[in-house]
Amino acid sequence: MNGFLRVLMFIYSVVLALLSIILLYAFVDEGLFADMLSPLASMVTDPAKSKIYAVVNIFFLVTSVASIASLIISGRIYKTKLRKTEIGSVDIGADAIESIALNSAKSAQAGIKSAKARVSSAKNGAIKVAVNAVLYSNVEIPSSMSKVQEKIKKDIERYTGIVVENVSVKVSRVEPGVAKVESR
Amino acid sequence: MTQGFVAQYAAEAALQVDGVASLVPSFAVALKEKAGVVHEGKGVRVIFSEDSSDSVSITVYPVIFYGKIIPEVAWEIQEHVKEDVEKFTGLDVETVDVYVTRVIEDESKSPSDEEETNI
Repeated sequence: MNGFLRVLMFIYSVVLALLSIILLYAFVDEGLFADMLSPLASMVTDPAKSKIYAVVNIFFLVTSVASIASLIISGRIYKTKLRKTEIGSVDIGADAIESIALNSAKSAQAGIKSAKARVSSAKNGAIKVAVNAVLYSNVEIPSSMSKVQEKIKKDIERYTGIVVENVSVKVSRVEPGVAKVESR
Repeated sequence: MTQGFVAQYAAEAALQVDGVASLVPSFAVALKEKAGVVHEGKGVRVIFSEDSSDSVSITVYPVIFYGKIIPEVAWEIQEHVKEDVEKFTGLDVETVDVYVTRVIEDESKSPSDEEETNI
């Protein structure tokens, strides 16, 4: 469903960009509004209003282009190609990697109550994992989170064979409650 | 020979592999199922190649248990599916692609899981 929303956002921003380009084109060709949007024609010809008009349009153009760019570049990967054997290819979906990360974070017994994971791509086919965690209150955050990072990295590399470049953990909230943290 | 027929064999072969929990039907197939149409071979896509009628490419969408080494399971799926489909249908299987969509926790496997954390 996440992917569906992303596609929707992409379409919206493309439409917005096209619309603002068309409206900016009115500066070049004033006849554009002659038949379809006659009230807007006065805005282009009136010097005071045309400035606002241009600023608003350029703002929309820039923001939509920026959102398209960010969707494409920093976007979540959908799958990673592992290896091509003589039979065919093996792909692992981002959801699968994320659930491995979640499972290993929870089984690390570091007082994580709930967590969300996000996978994005890095150089040379490696991946980056970002974990957003809600902890219990009696957790030593630095020590237990480094334990979680290590475990996630180790688990993903072992189970999928994909190199994990880094694991960033963000503690978003601390909930009252006592975690069953093993003392080691 | 229809796609569904081949897909059924492929799905059966994939499910026999150790570590495969289930197969995920695609969005369109899930809709079709909701509408009440029976789709044969859920979670497998079969494409007949255009030039020769007896060679197919198969894509499998499995859910794999947490704790299994995914590449190994995937390779096993490829071999198993290829072997079985070729044996039962006589078609030439060109490629078997595996796209792991999800990983779920296996309840029966939890004891060995704890072992790992204690290392």
